[in-house]
Amino acid sequence: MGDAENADWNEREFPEGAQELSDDFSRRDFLKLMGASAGLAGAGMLGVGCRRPEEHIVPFGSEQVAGQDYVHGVPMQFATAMPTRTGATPLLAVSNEGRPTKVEGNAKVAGRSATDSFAQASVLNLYDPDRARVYTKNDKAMPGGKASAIDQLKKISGKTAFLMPASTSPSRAALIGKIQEKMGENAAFYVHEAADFGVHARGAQAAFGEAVTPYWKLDQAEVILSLDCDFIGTEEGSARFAADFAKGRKVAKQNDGMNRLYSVEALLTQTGANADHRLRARATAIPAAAAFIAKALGKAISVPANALSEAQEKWLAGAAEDLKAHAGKSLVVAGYRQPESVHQLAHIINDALGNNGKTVTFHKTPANEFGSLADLASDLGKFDQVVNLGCNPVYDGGTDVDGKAITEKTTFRLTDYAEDESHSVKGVNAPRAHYLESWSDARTDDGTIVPVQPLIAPLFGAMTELEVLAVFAAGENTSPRTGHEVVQSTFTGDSWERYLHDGFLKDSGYEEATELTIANADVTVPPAQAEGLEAVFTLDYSVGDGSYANNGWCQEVPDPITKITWDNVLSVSRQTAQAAGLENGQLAKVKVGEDEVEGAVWVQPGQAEGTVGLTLGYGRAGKLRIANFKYEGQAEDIPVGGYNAYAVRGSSAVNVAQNVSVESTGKAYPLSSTQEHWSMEGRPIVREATLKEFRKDADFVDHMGLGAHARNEGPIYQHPYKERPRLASDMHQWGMSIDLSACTGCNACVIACQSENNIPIVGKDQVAKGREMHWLRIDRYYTGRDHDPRASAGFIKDEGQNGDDEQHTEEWIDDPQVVNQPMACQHCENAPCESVCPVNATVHDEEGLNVMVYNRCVGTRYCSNNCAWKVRRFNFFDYNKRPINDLYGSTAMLKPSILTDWITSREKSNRPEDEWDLVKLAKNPDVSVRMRGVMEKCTYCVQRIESTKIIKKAAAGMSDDVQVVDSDGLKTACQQVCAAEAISFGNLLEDGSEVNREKANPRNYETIDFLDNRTRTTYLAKLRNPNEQMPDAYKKPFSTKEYKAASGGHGDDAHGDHEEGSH
Amino acid sequence: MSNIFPKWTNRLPLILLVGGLVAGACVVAGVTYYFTPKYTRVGYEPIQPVAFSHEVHSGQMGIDCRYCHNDVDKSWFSNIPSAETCMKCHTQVLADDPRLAPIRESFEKNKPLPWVQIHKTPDYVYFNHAVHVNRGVSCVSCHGKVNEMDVVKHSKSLSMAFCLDCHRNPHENVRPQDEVFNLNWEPPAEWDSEREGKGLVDQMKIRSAESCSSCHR
Repeated sequence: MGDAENADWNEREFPEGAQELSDDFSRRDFLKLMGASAGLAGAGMLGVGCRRPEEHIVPFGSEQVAGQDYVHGVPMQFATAMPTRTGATPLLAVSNEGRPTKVEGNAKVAGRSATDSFAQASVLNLYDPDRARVYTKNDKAMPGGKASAIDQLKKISGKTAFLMPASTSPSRAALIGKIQEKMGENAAFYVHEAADFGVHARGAQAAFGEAVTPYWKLDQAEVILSLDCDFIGTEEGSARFAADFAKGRKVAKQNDGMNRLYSVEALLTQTGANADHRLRARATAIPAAAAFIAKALGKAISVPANALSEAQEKWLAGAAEDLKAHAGKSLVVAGYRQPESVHQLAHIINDALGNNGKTVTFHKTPANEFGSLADLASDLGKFDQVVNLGCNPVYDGGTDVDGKAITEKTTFRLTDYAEDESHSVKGVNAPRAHYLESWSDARTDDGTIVPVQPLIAPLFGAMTELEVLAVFAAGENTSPRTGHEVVQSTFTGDSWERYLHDGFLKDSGYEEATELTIANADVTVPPAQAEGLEAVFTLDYSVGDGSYANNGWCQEVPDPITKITWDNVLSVSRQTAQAAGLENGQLAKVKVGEDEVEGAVWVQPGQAEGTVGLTLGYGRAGKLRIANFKYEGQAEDIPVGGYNAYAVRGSSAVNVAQNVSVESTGKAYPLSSTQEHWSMEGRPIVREATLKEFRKDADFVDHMGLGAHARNEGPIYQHPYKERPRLASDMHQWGMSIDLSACTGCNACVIACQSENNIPIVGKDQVAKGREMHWLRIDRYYTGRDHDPRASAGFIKDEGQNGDDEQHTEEWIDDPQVVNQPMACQHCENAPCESVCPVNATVHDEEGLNVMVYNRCVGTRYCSNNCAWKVRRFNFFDYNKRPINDLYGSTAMLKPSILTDWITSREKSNRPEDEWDLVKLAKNPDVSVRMRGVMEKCTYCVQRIESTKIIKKAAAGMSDDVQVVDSDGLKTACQQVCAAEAISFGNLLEDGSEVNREKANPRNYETIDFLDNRTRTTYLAKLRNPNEQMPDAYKKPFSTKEYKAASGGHGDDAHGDHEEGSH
Repeated sequence: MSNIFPKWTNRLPLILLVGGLVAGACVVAGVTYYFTPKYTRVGYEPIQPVAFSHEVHSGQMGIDCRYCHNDVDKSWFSNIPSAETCMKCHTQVLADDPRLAPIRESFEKNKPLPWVQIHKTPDYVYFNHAVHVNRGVSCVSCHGKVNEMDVVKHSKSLSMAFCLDCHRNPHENVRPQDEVFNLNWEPPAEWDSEREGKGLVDQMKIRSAESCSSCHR
């Protein structure tokens, strides 16, 4: 719709005039009428009153309004892109009746339909109730809205500083060029991002003397060494890296090759969690480690003395040998947290190995010509005013930037939120448009130009940065161009329509720089801090730099490493915690120089000694109801929303700060973790082997667990198809396979599932009670080299005696191996949940789905109790209709008005008005929104299955071509978003379907197979590829060792052989 | 001191029992009759903002259903035509008829007409028009002979039992695809649903699902 009249129609329940009493109407008439209608209402209980209220169908007046291709009820997809700091994520955004509800990766551009978790969560930002809704000046709403804001912009004259977030938009660059031309000295531009990824370009510039940016090709590398580079997690463009890395991990046949990842890092990152060999090193020792490798490869680099221990040197020497053995097929990558010198060393090493041009190529990228926020802070006196195009300097500017001074000089600010840290009281605050409301463009990491096109008119009349800049670029008497005009004028291709349709401009990538030579082999390696604590600042896996802090999906998604929701923590290693007297879950004060901040301590397995990990993005101020979420009954002295790490982050030490002290305050702090127990306790839930073992014994998974025994006993539960054979469909039987070797544990699937399936968030206190609603979770287990589950047996003993509370004091956690396992409903064929439901609310369907019937469910929760995987989620409260800080309600619920409200308007919710409208817009119309008291769980995205079947059937007409096959493009939400392509889903009855191919892999196994539930979701065992020459080599993965120890050698190879022979 | 209770009280338990049973039976019968879609929906015949007659347009003039409901074979939703569709003819025919004033206004001012919804499945039912009308199920199966209705009324219950009746016996309701929009189609004399109907079911591989997931998601 869109125009005001239509909106009016939508809001009205009755046609105009039906609600108003316009006639002369006496009191007597009124009472008569009321009496009569009351009588009718009573009679109505047995008659017509039982009919539903009258509802209207409102077609368009004219078809032009809707657009030619619009078919009501058929979702449309539009190509657009989400701009990121250094690139853009090309997307296909799904629009349901004009509401964008979901985004998918644009496979035409990136070659995959995957995105990272932030792109998935970005949809919710569009419907954030705290978004700025009105244009304000002097904190008063501007009646003219956007038009008067533009008038204000036109009045700006004098020296103006523009503060902008990073962007790759060619249109923005063109506008800036025009403004510079027009305003000359009067305009200056500054770019600010809390995390600076420019170091990749600066490092390459330092090494080669040319303005180039490295472009890693991890799929070409057989051996990868990461120098504090979290390319799977916090690096920009991680989806592509994860995809390329995973390509080298999917082993199907015994002679398949597999890549090997070495990781040197201080914090346990996702990349370290996926490494075959991992070295814990302090962040300041990593330059020395890079220098050591360069030296081992024969380069004349001096290694700082005493930076590395003997054991570390041995490890690095081993890694260097392996790199040398794979010259030209290896890759050394340096992370954004490391200084320029480490990047320079990485290029020198890659050059020495002959990797440049093979596993890493270089793009000629435009050099950054803009100042930083720190530059602006020092230049501030020169300017008459600041125009802020979306930065939040008071929050993330760091300790030595006076963000307040910048804010005071700000006369115009584009802002996401009505009231946040950098809210400018005097100036104009203009709502900033979400990318799904904006016209813009951007370049992906390889330089391909992609359009950003709006799917919806700005919900609150918001403006884009291009529109603001266009005002400055416009001539005196010309009116500024719209975002659409700006983008179209920058477009250089042949067909604008094709550009928008495909979502990219062909052959517009950056030019590749070839024949680069090391111009500067002389690297000054900064010395390491030998003693004392150092602080490492890192972007948060869930909320990034804080721009996703008010996004409920991001807050509630468990951190992939700590599994903590709604908070950030001060991570320390076990020994550092003991030395500093820190307790898990207690508040501690971190002092960096003069500044201090108080956060909760988390003893993190696998973290380097002498390192405190501080996570950015939390501790926000302002009116942000999610970021500052306070649960019902939260004590006053418990801080909300985590701590603000920017408060101790200076511009001289943005990534690593030295001379840090940590002191416990002794106060306990409640943390909500979704997985409190760290160990698998020797059970073969995740099965692992080394590549060597796999080559020797491809069927190693069958020699673990008790599956072989159980099969002969027969299932405990009766197979539904045996009871009712007619039930089984001969056309479709669905199944899923998840490759644990490929899965990196990145959380994108969890958020994609949440977005697709209307899954609510529940709040920090409810997560602590285990009531989170995620249909798909990722289990993360730590396994230890010398961890014998029988010796510590954490969860079996009482708390306090090596129970969950004490696990962080155990030695085996120092150098753990990490395994991830996505866990959702397994769709058992002999499902234990089905046999205990007293009301048949969970049953099998023809196609092998274990379905949940919400209308039948009475909430006994027997099914959840009988589920071995604990994947069923119960709606303890009305999470959709109540605000999450008011779930319990109060005696107000007993008021009669509740009943009358319900009768008059059943749509009513307890949510504030401003939330309720937006909450409804964000929902997927193809999935029921569940109410209080019902159970729910993964459905294999049944709405996608059914819609694919329907499309196929509708196209088939009278023919029998109705079997859904892989080429019909059916994908579950988790499968579609998975960059690593770890998830396969499809029809088990289709010969050669992807899922059948995956299930034929010898690594295929069922979890908890001894129950013989015949799960439709199976897993491919994880493979590790250790190097036998390394000092920390291992013959078996630690989990396999734990399994053997716990099962008393039951499952060892000899037994396996015996088993095969005897049964 | 006797006869506190008169003699008829001896029969009180029986009276109560019988009375209770009768009352209970009445309530049960009342609920089963009055609370079912057969009572609450069938016959619903609301007054529409414009007195459009399907009998005239579809019955007498023989306009195909899809001339107006043109998305019925593409979407789950069978669209109500925009005023523009009406105006394709009514700029020529009855161009100045006062009964069509709301249509003209809607078209000129792009002001939607609030047609009253007659057929509606609950929110938790995901019925899809496209898959039915493309696969040999006629409009008439669920909507009755709309082409004979001057004012459209709800003619079938559209209850879950109604859906399942057909999903369990699809051969009784499928027809050749050419006849789906022919509401007057009668099976020819030699048509035997056991033979022709089942033949169609086999030919089209119709597996009308009976489990919950086919309609509820």
